[in-house]
Amino acid sequence: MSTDPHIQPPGLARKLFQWYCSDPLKEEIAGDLEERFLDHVETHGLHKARRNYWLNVFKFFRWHTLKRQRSKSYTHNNISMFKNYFKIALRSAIKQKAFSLINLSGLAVGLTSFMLILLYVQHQLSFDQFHEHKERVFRVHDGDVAITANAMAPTIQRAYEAEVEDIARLVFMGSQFFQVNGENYSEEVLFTDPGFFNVFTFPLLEGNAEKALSQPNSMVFSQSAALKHFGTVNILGELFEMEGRKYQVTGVMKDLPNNSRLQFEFVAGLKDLTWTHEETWSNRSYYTYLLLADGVNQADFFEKAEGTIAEAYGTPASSQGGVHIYFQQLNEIYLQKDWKLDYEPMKMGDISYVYIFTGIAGLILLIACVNYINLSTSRSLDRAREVGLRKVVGAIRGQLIWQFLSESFLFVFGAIILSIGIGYGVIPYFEQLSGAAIDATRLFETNFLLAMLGLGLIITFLAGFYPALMLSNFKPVEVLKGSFRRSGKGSRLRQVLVVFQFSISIFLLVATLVVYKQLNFIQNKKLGYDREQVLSFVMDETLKEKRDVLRTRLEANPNVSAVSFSSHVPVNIGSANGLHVGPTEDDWELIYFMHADKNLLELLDIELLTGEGLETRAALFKYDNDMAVKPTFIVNRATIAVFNWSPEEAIGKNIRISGIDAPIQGVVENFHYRSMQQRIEPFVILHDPDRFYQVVVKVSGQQVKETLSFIEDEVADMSPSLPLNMTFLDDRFNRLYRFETQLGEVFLTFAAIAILIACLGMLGLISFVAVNRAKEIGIRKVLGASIATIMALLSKDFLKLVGISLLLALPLGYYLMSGWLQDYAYSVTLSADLAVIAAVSALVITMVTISYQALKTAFINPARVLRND
Amino acid sequence: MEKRYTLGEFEETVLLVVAAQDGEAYGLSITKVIEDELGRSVNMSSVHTALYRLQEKGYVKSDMGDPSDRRGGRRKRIFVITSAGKSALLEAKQHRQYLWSKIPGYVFGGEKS
Repeated sequence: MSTDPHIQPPGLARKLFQWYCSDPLKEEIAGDLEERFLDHVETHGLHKARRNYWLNVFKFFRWHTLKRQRSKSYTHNNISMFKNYFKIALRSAIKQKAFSLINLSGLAVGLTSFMLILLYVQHQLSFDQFHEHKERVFRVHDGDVAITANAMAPTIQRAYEAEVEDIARLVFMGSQFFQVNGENYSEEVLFTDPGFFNVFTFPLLEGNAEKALSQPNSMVFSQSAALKHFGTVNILGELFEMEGRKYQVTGVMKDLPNNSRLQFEFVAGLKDLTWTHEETWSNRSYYTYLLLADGVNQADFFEKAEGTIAEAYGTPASSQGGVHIYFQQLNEIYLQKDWKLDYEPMKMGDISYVYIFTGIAGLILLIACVNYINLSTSRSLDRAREVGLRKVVGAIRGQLIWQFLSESFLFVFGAIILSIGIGYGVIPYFEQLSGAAIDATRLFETNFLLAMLGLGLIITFLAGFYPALMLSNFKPVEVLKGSFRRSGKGSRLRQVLVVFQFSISIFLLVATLVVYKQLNFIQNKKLGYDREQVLSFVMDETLKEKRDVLRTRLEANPNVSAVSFSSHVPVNIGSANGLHVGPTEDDWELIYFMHADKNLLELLDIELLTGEGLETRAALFKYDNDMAVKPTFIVNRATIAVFNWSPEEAIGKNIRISGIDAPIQGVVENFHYRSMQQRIEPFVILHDPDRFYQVVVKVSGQQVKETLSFIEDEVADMSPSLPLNMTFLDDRFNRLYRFETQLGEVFLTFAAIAILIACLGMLGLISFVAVNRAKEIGIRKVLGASIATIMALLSKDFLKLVGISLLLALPLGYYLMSGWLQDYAYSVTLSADLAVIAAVSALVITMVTISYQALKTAFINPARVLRND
Repeated sequence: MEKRYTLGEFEETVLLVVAAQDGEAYGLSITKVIEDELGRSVNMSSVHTALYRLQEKGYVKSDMGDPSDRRGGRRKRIFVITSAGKSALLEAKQHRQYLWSKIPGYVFGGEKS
């Protein structure tokens, strides 16, 4: 009856039963089940019998029939077995030094990258988290710029005395001239309200935090500034001069941690600056911070405060209408993504940087794990006999799995120790790469080490599990008889892994190429002005008064081709006025401006399209509009585009900037006065000598060094106290693109690491193939195959893998990177050339990696491999 | 401590069948007897569980029998009652007989004496 092939119990049910039932019970129960099934076939028919079989299989699913781990039988011997596992692992690692080295270095490189990136991300996330009241401190801004009017904070504080516990307005003033014990310095000073040390948590070593800034002409030094200027931190009450006024040291604060976004060395009272006394809405130079009282409903408060500000804003004459104000929590300013504010005072983090780094860290770690899997399994033949023998003398599979896992454990933890060492060594380079200051001692903190321990265990399982499963699965009979051949299954997996590794590497390569191409584009794009050999420096009052003398003296040198004065230089123009573009008060746009003297346009080679430049007509521009001569404007092409005028039409047309109506006297070509990420906006060139702060000098000739020291001497002669800080426009321009430069370097570094690890994987695969196909190749050679044919045969498979990786990675890379380029108002287009470069380099790298092993295999003497058969 | 023979009602039934089928009893045969002759519906798995519990208690012992075609070449596990099992059954039987004898005759329809 049971011989009838149609009358069979359901196969799936039978398998299910085989799976769950414990071995000693299997036979009898399966027998009963089948007998019962046949009975049912006779009495109820096949259909019902099969259904009952299923039912019975489920019903037998009981506690006493289940497979259970009966571990009692071998627990007593575990410790010594593990000792043995480690010993064997070490021996086999030493036996194959090259292999172990490749494997270990792959893991170590991956882990080092991961660790450093982990530290970086941790550092970025820790910014401003040390402030005690961080959840209650908010920065106020209007959505465009980070600075506000000085009336903002007092207005809110007066209106909501109960809710606002304290305020701190911050003004950073660069180049303050200090005279300490007869020596001159120039330093940047933070001027702020007395509540500063209440709002922010910057502990004082000396002095009283509450009173430090309450008296006029008091200043708090940082610890290192105190050491620098006085040689000690016990300087309370010491006197010095700043900008000609007597100052007293009232406090010394601990040096700021490097995860503080605000960085400063000197703090003084805001009251010391006389121009801050009057509360106005027109002078916007203040970063406004509020400390809210405990338990204030913040959302409600923000809404109320915005109403109050809008009300207060309405009355004073201001060209900007439609007030919005926003509140940013202190510890969220650094990494925020929502605002791209101008006038951010200090370094900003970039959350996308954190994401990119984290993503890359994960990928590298994954590649390293994959590499370990790849290399460990490719070596299975060496271990197969050992596994067979162990099984013969009674090892069960579970024990073998533990053996190979402990071997992985050994490798992973060896790699971790190694990478902590490497990490310690390369932290300076990494700091440069990431632009973040990372404390190297963090590598040895307990928390970090514990995290590494956890990570190590995870990687041990991740990377070690598959090799352990595969290696422990060998059948002793096959292995020991000598007829053992590796199955094709494992090599398929290895191929997938290599494709995976190479896809990631190629992706990173494409990303690198795109970033560099864009960077190159930025640096070579015609900016609309000449930045070569142009330098600038800030004037003090002495120089301002003797401006013309300075010009004459500098221009006496033949290597100085032009000297000019201005309020800003093109790379960092941030100040803006309101340009009225419509009939009502609300129709206005931001218009950036720069005050310039007559020959700046010529010096910077800014092209005048129509009308008159400043050389021929420089009308004075003042905000208090009561002068005899009406001002005129020189605007850029983007400005007249707002009104849809052609350059010719625009001349003589009246426009209104900051409430002043005046005609356009000239139109200049657009030039990139800000970063390439920003579109060129309306721009106006004004003329007000009182607002000239910068000296712009164009030098020529080869002896730049001599020319620079000539300028230095001249300036020192005219104003001995001015600390001269000359910068080339070029350098400042490049600093604008620090993010892109860093991104390029980051991608380059990690692409290199990924490719390195992937090549190690490839090396593992080729050596596996070389051993496995030795006999085949021997036979081919005997039959007359040439070296070239065999090389081609061996390379073909690998090139195919690289080809697949290219197909996967190139579209992905193009897609993601074109998303990145969309951040730029001006960017390169992605064309096929990058793909070609990526493909060629991937293929070349592959060939270089495999050629040694392939050649060795191709040159092998067939007699040697075939002799044994 | 005096040895207590504990037998559940279902266990007792199974043990009785094992004794009745002396030397021939295995999971399915017992199931069949209970189903067909006693007219009680029962799961094979319950019988199986009961048999193993009896074996743990020492009331039955088992050995693998001969393979048969009808079972796909698999052997059956034959269960045989042990003397402890017999004692347990006897005790259960005595308890019952004692209790039966205590029932007044009229309860089952006899005249009240």
